[in-house]
Parts: sequence; C-alpha cells; structure tokens
Amino acid sequence: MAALVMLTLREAVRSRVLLGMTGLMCLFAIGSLLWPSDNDGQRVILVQRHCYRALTFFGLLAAAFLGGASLPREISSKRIYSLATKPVSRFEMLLGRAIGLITVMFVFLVLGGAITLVVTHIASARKTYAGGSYTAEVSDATAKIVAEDGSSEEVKRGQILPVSAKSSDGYRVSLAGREEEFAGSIAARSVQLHERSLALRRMVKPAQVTAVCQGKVEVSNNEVLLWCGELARNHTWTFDLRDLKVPQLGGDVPIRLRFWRLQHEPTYTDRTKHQAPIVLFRLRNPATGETAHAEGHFTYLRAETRPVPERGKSLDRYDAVVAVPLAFFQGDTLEAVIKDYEPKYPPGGRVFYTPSRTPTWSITGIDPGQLPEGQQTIRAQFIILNRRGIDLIDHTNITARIGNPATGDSETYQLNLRSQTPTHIRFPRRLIDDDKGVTVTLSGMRSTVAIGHASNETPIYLVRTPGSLWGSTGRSLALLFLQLSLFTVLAVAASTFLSAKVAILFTLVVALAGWVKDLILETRTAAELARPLASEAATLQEAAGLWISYLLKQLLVGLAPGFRQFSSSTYVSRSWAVPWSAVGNALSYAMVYTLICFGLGYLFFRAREFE
Amino acid sequence: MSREPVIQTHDLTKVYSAFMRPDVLALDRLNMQVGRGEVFGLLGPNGSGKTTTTKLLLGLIFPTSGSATVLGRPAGDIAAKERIGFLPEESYLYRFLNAEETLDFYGRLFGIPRPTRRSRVDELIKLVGLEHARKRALRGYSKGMSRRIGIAQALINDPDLIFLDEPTSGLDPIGRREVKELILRLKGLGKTIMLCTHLLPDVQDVCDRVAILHNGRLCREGSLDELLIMHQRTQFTIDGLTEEQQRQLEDFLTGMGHGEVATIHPYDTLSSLFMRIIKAEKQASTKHRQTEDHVASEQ
Repeated sequence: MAALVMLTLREAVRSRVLLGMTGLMCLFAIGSLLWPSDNDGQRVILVQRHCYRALTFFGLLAAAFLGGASLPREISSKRIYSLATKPVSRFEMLLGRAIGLITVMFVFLVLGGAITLVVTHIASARKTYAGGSYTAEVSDATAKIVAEDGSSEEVKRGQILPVSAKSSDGYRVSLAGREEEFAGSIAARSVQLHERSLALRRMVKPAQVTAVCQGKVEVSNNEVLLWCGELARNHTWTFDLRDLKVPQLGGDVPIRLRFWRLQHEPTYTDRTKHQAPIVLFRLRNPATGETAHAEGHFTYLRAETRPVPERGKSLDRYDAVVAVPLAFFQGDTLEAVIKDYEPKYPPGGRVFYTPSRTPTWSITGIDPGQLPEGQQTIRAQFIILNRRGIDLIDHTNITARIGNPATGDSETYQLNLRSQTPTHIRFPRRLIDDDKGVTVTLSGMRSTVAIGHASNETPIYLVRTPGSLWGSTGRSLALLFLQLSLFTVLAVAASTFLSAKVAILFTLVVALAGWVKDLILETRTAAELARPLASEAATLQEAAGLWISYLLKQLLVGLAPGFRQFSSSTYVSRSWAVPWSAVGNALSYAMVYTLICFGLGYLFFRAREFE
Repeated sequence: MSREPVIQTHDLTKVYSAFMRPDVLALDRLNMQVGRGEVFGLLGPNGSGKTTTTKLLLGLIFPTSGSATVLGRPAGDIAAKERIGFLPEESYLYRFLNAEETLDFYGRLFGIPRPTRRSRVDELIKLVGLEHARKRALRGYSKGMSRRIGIAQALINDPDLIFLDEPTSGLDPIGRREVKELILRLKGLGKTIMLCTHLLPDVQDVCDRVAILHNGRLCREGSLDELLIMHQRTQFTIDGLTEEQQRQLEDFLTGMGHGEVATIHPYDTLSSLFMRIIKAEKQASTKHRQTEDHVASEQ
C-alpha cells in the first residue's frame, strides 16, 4: 500500500498537478497583498483569509479532479490489469489511492501554508509608503502641496490629486478659513479636497486614518465631539478643556464619540457588519498623570449614511457617549487614546488570565471612595457568535474569588456566564484595599477561553485565547486538511462506481450543497435569533406539523458535508487562535464522514469487474 | 495430462450483462487443466474467449458460474497472485515512471526486500535489453521497448505461473526470437506458462499443449504432437538428388501403390532467412571494423 501512496504522490508531482495548484495559490496569495485595507491589522487578516480561501478553493478543485479521476483513469487506461493481478487486495488498492491523494493534499497545504506565512509576514511588514514629505496648504479655492525639496503642486477643490509620498510631520490644511492639522504620516494614491475635509481615495492606509482623526474636535452643548473618519488604534487626541463646561457639582462628563465605518468592510463577516463595535479608550490627564479606561458602545445610526463614490461604498455613522470621571478634568487638557477596538466584541489583546497562566490578578486604581458600599461590581461577559455558530460555548460556569490583598479577606462567588450577557458580582467594600485594590482569582475555566479585564469599572471579559501565528496557522491548515481529506475520499468513493467526469461533477455538487446548507443554516439561525420569543411556541407547533420536511432537511444536512466545521475564517478575522476543540470537532466529523464514504466506496469497488 | 495441475477450470462460464443490451456469452462451460512446467497455448480467433479466460483466472472479472483454481487456490486469491506474473496484451504501465522505477514499484507490491528488489531490477533490465534506457520515462519508449519492460514487470517476482498475452506483439523479429527463447528458458526453469496469441508459429515453436477456443467453447485441447501429427503422410528430406534419381524414386514409390506422390523443394522460413542475413551483416560489419582498425594501426 505504501508503494501505491508513493506512486500517487509521484504522479501528482510529475504530472505537474501539484506545481500548478501551488502556482495558482501563490498568485492568489500575492494578489491578496494588493487588496485595499484600512490598517495593518486588517491587512494581515485579509491576507490570511484570502490565502485560506484560495487554499480551500484550489484544494477542493484538486480533490474533486484528482480524486474523481484517479481510479477511472487507472481502469480506462487498463493499468489496473497490471495492478490488480499483483498481490494487492481491492481494499489496499482503494486505501492506497485515497491515502496517496490525501498525501498530495497535505503537501499542497504545507506549500500553501508556507506561502501564507510568507505573505502574511510581508503584509505585516508593510506599514508605510516610501517617499518624501509634503506639506499641503489649502486655501479657500485651491490647495498647494509643498514638498520638502521646495517643489509644489496646486490643486483645485474637488480635483483628484495624486499623492505618491508621505508626510511624516503632517499636513496643514486651510479650508474655508478654518485651519486644521493632519499629523502623522499620510499616504494615498490620491487625495480629494472637499468643502471641509480631505477624502482619501482607495488604498487608504492606517496612517491616513490617524491623520483624518486628528484635530477634529468640536465642543458643543457640554460635549466633546471626536470627529473620526475611521478608528485607529493607539491614536491620541488632545482636548482643550477650556472649551468645555465642566459640571461643578460632580458626576461624569459625557464625551461624544463619532466615527464612520465603511459598509461591508472586508474583514467583517456579514454577521457583524451592522453590529456596533465596542471601543476601548484610555483617558489620561497630562497635568496629573492619571489614567483611566473608558469603554464606548457605539450605536449604529443607519439614517446617517454617506456614499463614498471613490470606493464604491458607503459609510455608516456610529455614535457613542463615554462618561469620563470628573476627577480627570483637572488642568487644561485631557488625552484620549483609542487602545483597541473590535467590531461588536470586547477588545482582544488585553488578556490577563488564560488557563496556562495564573488565574489571579490584581486590579488597582479603583477608587472606592466615590462609590457607596456594595457597589463595586464585576461585570463578566464572554463571546459567542450565535447559538449555532463556530463558538459552541453559550454559557460556562466559573468560580470567582474576590480578595483583599492587604487583609487576605476573600469571598467566593459562583458565576454562570452567558453569551452576550454581562454578569455582575456585588461584593462588600471590605474586599477592596485603598492602595492595593482587589485580587480576583478565577477557576473552573474551559481550556479554550480566557478572561481579561478592561476598565476602572472592572468589567471582566471572556475572550479567546490569543495564539501565536504559527500555532493558529497550523490549526487552520489542520482544519483545511481535514476538509480536503474528506472531499478527496468522497471523490474517490464516487469514482468507484461512476465515470471520472460524473464523479468529479458529483463531488463538486456535494461541495456546493454543503456550502449552500451552511448558508441556509446560518440564515435560519439569524432569523431564529431575531424572532421574538413570544412567537417561538407557535413556530414549534408549526415545525411539529412539518416533521417530514424536518427529517428531509436533516437528511440533507447529514448527506452534504458542511464547510462550517472546517472554517477558520471566523477566528482569523478576529485574530483569535483556532481552538483545539474546533480541530477536534472537525476531526471527528471528517472521520465519521470519511469512514462512511470509504466503506461505501469499498463495497462498490470490491464487486467491480475490470473488463 | 499426468503433471500436477496448476490451473483447473470446472464449467467456467462468463456472461457479460449490460443495461438495455442483450447478454453476451463469452465463455461457455470451459473445462481445462494446465500442468506444472507446461507451456500452454490458448488459441482462438477474436472474441473466442481467450482474454475472458485469462481475466477470470487472474480475478480481474468474476465467473457467472463454474469455478477455477490457480496454483491450488480460487482464482483471484491474493496468495496465489504472489506466485503469478502477468503480461497484458499491451503494456499498460505508468508512463511517468522510468524502467527502474516501474520495476521497483511492482517489486514493492510483492513485498520484495529492497536489496533483492534492486538486484532483481538490474537483472531484468539486462534480460530485456533496456540498459540504455533504464532512466528514461516510459512515455519516451517505443512499442517494442514498452513490451520489453512489460515482460520484465511480469517476471519481477520470479513467478511460478506466467500469463503472457500476445507477448511478441510489437516486437521485431529479433525481439520475437528473444522472447521465444526466454519462454523456453523459463520453461527450463520449471515455470508454467500460459500463452495467449494469434501468432500460430510462435505457439508451435514454444508450446507443449494448446487449447483452441471458438465462440467461448473449447474446441480442441491436447499436446502439439497429438494435434499436429499426420500419421497418414510421410515426408523424406534428401540432399543432392539428381533429376534422374528423383524420377526413379517417384516411380518406385508410385509402384508401391500409395497413390499420390509429391516432390517438393522446401522453402526456408522468412524468419530463418532474416536471422541469417542479419547475423551475416553483423559479422561482416565486425570484420570490416577490425580490418579498418588494423589498417589504421599499421599506418
């Protein structure tokens, strides 16, 4: 059988099938580098997702064509005569072919994975554009961009201005008598001047996002309005507090944040495109050096949509109000830094606890003096896509021990954390030390989740364990390998009783059916989630009357191998590590399906005559 | 047949059935035996059932009724296949492999250890005269070369029973002669050979026994001597008779009352003539080269 495996691999190499597949994958991966993205993180995610899609696509094609044609070609070319007359059983013949083709898929994935890693590395290294520095001076009607070498260009408002360089010191733009600073590097294929703003055309880079955000501060009605083009991590605004009417009687100061986000941003899945993101700010008072975190839950305002013809898309407006403690408004200025943001989900990268690390951390900076007894809360929240989503965890039980690090006094709380539902713990004031804060120890965690905390309100989030690029890539490739193995065996099994063309077509149709099935399930899930609870009873009654239809659907579900089990895009798009549980689920699914397919294929092949 | 039977069939029947088409009776209750060490010829026109019989014996297809045993085991049995070599009608091999890799691959299927396999591969490549093309992919082989490598793969396991389907097709007269010599050599080693061919002279040259099939039925079976001997006719071959002596001999034989007496000057066979000419040419060219070398050395 090993001879057959090696023969199959050798055939794939010498017939240049493997080379062709890898070449196409390489082209696709390089092409993904040209895809526009709005910041570095997104670009990396985009590249990874595109590479995985390419691997899936070409791998599936290869699985269908190689697997579907292998045995029929052997029979039609009559090479089977020389093979079947050797002491090789039909079982070994079939298994050898299947394992050989799976080995071909493995080699393809290893090569494709290497390409993905290389391209990802290149994508993560691309941060700025090369070129000189420019300063743009824009008058009422025209703009002049002056380069460091003294050369300049004048453009009229509305004109598309090609800019092939960056500015490290910033732009100064005067529009309608209002002068604005655009700090940081900026680079774009072109810049369009509008009435009061610069619009950056395609190929917007993160540096530009920073620039657009800068300086757009408006103060009105006791609110600070941050006029953001798009959010950028680690960007700092500076407020002039003299413009702000700070309430004299205490309480928080609301800061209104606003930003615009492109519809259908490529890194967001359809499920999340209209879901409001959560943005984490760090506030700092330069005078006192105090810092605090604030969390903004943005509200999506669909009515506020702006077309962006240059990008062929529209921008959606998101608004949020962040309450800033009064204590920070001492002095003249206040800084706000966007530390992190995620669409809908709590920020990643701030993980304090994972099962492999210590489950204990200390939270300091809590000012219990401002809060009455018993009002310190831990708000726990963890992530799940939906009830049928990739993240199959919809609730988990943990034990939290809250302790005073100075006195050693502690209390234990049992928490049942539910998806998307904050969990609060009220604990007595005596557990908080004025200097050392509070110690929180968690236990009973699942291995695939981790906990982080984010702000002075002490919210605790369950987030995915962040993983290394290597580990995550490896597990993503493992998922892909299982998927391709399944379809390879399916194609081989089909070819035991079908001609090559029909077997290939059959495999592709089954793959398509699996994809459609996932789509249907996804849509149905979304509809179910949106359906009011009150109507669920009626729906269940209706479903009970249609049990035959239900069974047929389940049959379809069982027959068509889905893609969802093998998809890593959900994790990749959020920079999460692919959990081992996902690999385990995919492995068991693939094994069951593969064994059934292979068994049926063998029954046909055993009875087949080679005329 | 007194030898131990290596192949035995009992009412072996094969009917090909196809959807929406009438059934075809390819083999009808075949009963035959092939003894150990025999070269057995399976003869018959196209569609007579020769290939069907071979495929049934090799387990490539399954009988509709009846049974067959090969080397004491049911036809198609894996253990029996370890002692069988098969050369198909055409050499259906992997064209992306070269000669060495091809033989190595088939050797691995037999589980032959690597060192043995290597020496066996070298030996067989030499045997079939493909040393000069051992590293060339089979896609670059001529029909004759493919046939030779096909023969080599059939012998990779040093089989006890060898099925040869048209072994000389595609070969030039020299190659045919070599294959026939190889068959006789294998016979000398005690191998049993089952030969399917249209080329009756080949059969006559190498076979001990033959079976003649027609429309799936066994028409005749027996040793060549039994089948070909003409007891009622006698042939003398005499060198150097004059016309007078010849006429006297004819008169004498006619006078004995045996009816028709024919006088024939025998023809040589084209094969022998061809071989003689080639041999002579080879000798001449060798001699010519030696002469040139001699002249050159003297100058």
